[in-house]
Amino acid sequence: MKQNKKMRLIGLSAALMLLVVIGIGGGVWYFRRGAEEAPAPEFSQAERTGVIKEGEIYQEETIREFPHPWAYGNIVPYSRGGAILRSDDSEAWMEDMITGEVIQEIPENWKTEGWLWEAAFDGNDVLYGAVGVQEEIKIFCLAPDGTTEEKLQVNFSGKKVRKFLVDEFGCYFVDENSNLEAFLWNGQRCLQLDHVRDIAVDGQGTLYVNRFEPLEAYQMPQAEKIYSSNSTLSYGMQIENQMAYEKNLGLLYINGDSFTQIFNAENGSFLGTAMRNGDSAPSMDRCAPGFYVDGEQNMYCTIRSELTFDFMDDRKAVEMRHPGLALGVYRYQIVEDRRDEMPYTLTVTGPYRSEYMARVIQQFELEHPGQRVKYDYEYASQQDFYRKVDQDGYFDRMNLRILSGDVGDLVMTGGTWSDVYHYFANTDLFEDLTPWLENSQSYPELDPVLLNSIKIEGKIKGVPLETDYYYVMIDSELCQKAGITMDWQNASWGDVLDLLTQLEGTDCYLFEAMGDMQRAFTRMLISNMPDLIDRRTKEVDLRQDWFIELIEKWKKAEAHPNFCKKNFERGLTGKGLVSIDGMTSRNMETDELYLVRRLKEKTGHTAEIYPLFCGEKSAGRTATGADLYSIYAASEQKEAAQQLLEIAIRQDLQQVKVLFSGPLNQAAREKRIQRAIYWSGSPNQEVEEFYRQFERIYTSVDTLYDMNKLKEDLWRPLWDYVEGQKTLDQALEQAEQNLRLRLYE
Amino acid sequence: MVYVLPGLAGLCVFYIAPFVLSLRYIFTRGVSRVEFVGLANFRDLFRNPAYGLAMKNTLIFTAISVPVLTLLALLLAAVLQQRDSKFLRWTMMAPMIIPVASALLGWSAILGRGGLLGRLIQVMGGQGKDYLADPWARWSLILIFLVKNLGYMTVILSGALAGIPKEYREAYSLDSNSLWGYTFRVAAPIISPVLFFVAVLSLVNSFQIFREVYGLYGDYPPNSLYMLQTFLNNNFAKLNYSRLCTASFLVSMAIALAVSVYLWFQHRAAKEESGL
Repeated sequence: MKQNKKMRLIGLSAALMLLVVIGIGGGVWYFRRGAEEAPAPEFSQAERTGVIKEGEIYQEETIREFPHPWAYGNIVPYSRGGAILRSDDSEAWMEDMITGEVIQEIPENWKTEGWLWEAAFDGNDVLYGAVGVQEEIKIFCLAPDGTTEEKLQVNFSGKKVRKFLVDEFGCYFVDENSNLEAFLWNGQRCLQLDHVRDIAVDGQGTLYVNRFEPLEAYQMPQAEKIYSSNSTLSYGMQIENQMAYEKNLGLLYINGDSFTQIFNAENGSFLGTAMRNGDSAPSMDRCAPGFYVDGEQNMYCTIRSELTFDFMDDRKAVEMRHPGLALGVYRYQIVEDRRDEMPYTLTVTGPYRSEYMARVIQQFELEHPGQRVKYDYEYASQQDFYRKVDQDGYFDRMNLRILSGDVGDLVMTGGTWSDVYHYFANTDLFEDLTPWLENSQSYPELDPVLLNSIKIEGKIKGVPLETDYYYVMIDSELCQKAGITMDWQNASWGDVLDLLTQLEGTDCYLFEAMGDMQRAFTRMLISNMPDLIDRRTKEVDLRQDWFIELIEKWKKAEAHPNFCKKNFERGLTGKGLVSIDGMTSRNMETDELYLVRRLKEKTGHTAEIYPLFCGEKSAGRTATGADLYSIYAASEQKEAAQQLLEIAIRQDLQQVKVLFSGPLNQAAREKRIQRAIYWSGSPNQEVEEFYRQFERIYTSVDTLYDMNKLKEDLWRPLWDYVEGQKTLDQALEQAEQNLRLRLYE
Repeated sequence: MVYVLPGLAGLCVFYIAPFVLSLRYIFTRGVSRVEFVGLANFRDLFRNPAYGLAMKNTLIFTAISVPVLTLLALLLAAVLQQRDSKFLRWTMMAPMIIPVASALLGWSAILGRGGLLGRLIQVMGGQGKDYLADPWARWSLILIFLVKNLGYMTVILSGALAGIPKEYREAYSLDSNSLWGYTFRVAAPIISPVLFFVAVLSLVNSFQIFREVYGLYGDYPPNSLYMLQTFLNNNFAKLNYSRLCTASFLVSMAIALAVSVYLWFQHRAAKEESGL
């Protein structure tokens, strides 16, 4: 019996040992196998091209600059590289973008016939020109013997050409409103698309179309769709005329506001991010009308060297020409990062990589060659941060880092989550920036409303580099038709909800919204929150008659048949009075005007833009802070940190496109509006008036919104009431309890 | 001493030293520029309604869950004495072994909106509710706490009951066959130090229920479940170290007091037993 027990014990021990050995051995085998099998680079050699490696950087280099009065400076491919259409008072010609060597003179009769929009070469270097003649466009071809032939005449409704390409099958136009039209040489219109950012051809009959999302390819002459790749283009990819086909490796390069990305032209799959503009392309932000990639995978851009807007006073004379404009050709090539071995002298800490901060750091390093900045962030992008922050416990880790001093000299202490700034600002862990700001050169240009609203006990402990502004779009004709006269600038949410009675029996809606009305309800609460909650005294008073009346009014409105029309896209469709999805962004120059033009085109209606509606008791117009930076009190590099912040608030940086939202610097806002007008394609009075409306959106703001978390406590119970899950009394009680708790913690 | 030294060193470095260091925040404000404020942090804390609510909820939860747990554990241990089953005893430990996150998934599926319990009640003709929301949230949490800790406490008390000489039971059976009578009138006084130990352990565990609350609701649970630990955690997130340290000092003192009472009780019981 004893022997048996002993044997059993030995057997068990042996089995256990065997299990451990198998476990360890298996683990070692598995990981070694994984290491051996994992290919060192993830891409094939062709795919790897253009994607930056560690220790490398894309370097910007100015190739040449020249006066250039044309609105667009497209680069078109020809057999030896890229070509640019140039002109002076008497002549026009196509020249090599690098050497400036004239490739082909533009025949005189092309210019006398009408307005020469663009010119392009086909695969055999035969030159074609797109000449606008009233409503039509004539396509001329310069035969090798020097004679001119009119190849085609197409109706283009008098629109302006933004991009023009040709190949052996036909010609392709993108107009000022981002519509593509493709014609075969027999005159047949074979393809029409909208939302087109840019096109490229491979010379073999494939037409590539960047429609933001998706990226598409069509085979000519049948115009048969080869693929539509819709999960590839990054958020922010919204620049026009910034796609290039690289024929050696069959790649498509697409340059965006923030990145240049590479796609496989064969199937549209995403291969990798090549250049981050914030790191490598300080000039890219100025308007970049042309883009080209050579066989060595070097990228080229034509960039406006300086934009001045004084021409606005005499718009007619310079509608498309401006003598002061110069065009630069810039090259971006991969080089070894020489600063790689330099020690870091300053650290910027933030939760996610902000392309604007990357751009500021780049500028700071350019202006201070002895400084090298470490950009310390956890998430690759803002989207990534918002997606993961709740599960990751980022702020707990951040708090520990702050307490232990393990943060940079400059710390991002607020974004749209600006409540966090309040917690940070209430401690002595961050510097009072008020004295430095008041002595800063840019101080007179900074928005005093925003600066004032981030003061806590008279101290500014963080600078909000950018801010989101909300606005509404009103259909003026529909208002007229419904007999509605409203002072939209000063209208409160209650006033607007009252309009429902006037819409009864019509087929019009009060609101048009992308998605459900929960967001609009929240925005209504935001407008009223300053009159319900006092952060300073920690008082909450939700039982005010006007507020109860407003919530009841909303609930009643929700059941009204004319309340809301849901759209898949932003903007108006001619059926609703008010679109409530407006938010300022860097792309207003393309997006917003497009919405207004679309409305005009489809319905003949005009749209006006106003700030989001007022609260019932006071205006309560709030902007949401984004990218708020503070200087860590224990930093030994405070002066350098201030110099970096000084660059971040300067007008020339604040006006750049990588600054996603509204600038803190008011002069930069003005520049952005001017640029939007200029790049609208046809800067006439109507367009200028449209963009000038943004001024009132910026200037109508009363305060920076700092109740993001409190909002959560308020809207959830009240929305339960709207949806009938709680009585109003229950909802208010719940909201009051939640708010008090949050305020007193 | 040599044997306990590694453990003691860990305790000192990772618990006692930080606690002592945090004491300076109780009487000061500021992190980089520290300012002495005397007892102002205590005054502010006692006036803080969030702290008041957290205190009230914690007391209510502890006052209900600790006695109920101790009582149930004693009754279950007594039943198990009657029908001793190793399998049953081991399965009772299962709730302690299951990871909190997995257990919470299960609880959500049972008690949450559209959960099993709600559906069962609907089938029976009632109206199913979200039992993880107020006004049910507190009771649901007490249930979760009981299920999690009952087995462990039962095992401890079973051991104590098993240690009582059989003669006591035989002597009592001359008067009565009642299991409850024996348990409460004979066994409970004998194992009272262990009972008190179970009560103190339950008290400490009741403070640890924060993990479940955080896992189910995040930073802001329903108001009835806003516990002291929630308050402490949220104040950490807001970098309010003075308030955080003052509140945690008070919590530590309360637990220390409970443990001291236990030790005193144990000491007195030992003294009485020895007849000194």
